[in-house]
Amino acid sequence: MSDRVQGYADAMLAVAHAEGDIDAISNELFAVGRAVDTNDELRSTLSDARIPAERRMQIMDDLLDGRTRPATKGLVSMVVGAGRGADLGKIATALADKAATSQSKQVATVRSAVALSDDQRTRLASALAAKLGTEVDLKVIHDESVVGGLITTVGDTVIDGSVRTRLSRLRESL
Amino acid sequence: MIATVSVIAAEGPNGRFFPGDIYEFWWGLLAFLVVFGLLAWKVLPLAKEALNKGQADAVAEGAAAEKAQADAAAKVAALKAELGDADAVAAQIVADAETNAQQLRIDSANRTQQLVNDMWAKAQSDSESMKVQAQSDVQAEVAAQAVGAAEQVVRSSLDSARHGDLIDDYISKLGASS
Repeated sequence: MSDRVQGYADAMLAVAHAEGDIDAISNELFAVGRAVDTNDELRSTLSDARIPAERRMQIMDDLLDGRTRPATKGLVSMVVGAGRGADLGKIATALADKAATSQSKQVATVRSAVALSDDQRTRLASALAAKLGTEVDLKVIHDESVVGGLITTVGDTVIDGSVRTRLSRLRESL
Repeated sequence: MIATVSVIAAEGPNGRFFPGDIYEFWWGLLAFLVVFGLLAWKVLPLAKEALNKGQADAVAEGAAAEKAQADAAAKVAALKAELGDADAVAAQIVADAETNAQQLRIDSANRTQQLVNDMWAKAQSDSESMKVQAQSDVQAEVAAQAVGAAEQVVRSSLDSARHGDLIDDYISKLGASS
């Protein structure tokens, strides 16, 4: 990632650390970044220089109002106001990595077609920790293309137990 | 001589061969000699000259005629030779043309045969490729249809319980592999 993204992630981590709620803020920012990455219209709006920064910040404030902590909303407004709204996803991912590293953890990105229950999250985190030998910070992404099952990515390691991949193998075998 | 005879003839007959007056004979002889001398002096050279000239002309004409004949014969010979060469050349040209035409026919036939062979080989190759491609397309289509049907069946059977089972199974296998 670029130095600029790392710089914003470092600043956000410092704010989250100062707020004393690194995990929650990191999770919320990760969710917001994911939303920006998957929504082309929102991403183009946030990166459109013809739209005044105040208007772009107002859009995000309206979207996040009551759904995130004030600190999270403030960090998002800062990034959008600086004209880096399109990079929000990268910045949030970098922040998640830094936050996990600061807690001696690894970020495990889990893609699922359905939401995971708290019990499933706990058991999955434990299983991953046992397998990887380190604590993990789960970042669950809702992805309908997975169809069923899970796809977990930790660093360069991908553990694929999705129905989509099984169907792909079936297609290749046929 | 003619004059003498004329004079003698003009005299009447006297029973002798010579005229009755001998002087007539002498005068006649004199006249004859005079006339003869004049003829020999003036006319004979002219006649001789004319005869010589005519003879020379005749010789010259004969020589010219012979030369013309020789030239004509030479021309005839040259023409015959030329005609002979022309015939030979024409015969050679015709022979060459026939040879070339024959070679062209052979080449054309060979090319046509080669073209037919190539087209036939290409048609067989294309046919084989099309068959393989068609089989591949059919297999791909069957696979796509089968997988599509399987995916539909899987999606329709995936309720929240099945999703939960899949996730639990994933976690169990992950734990078992550690």
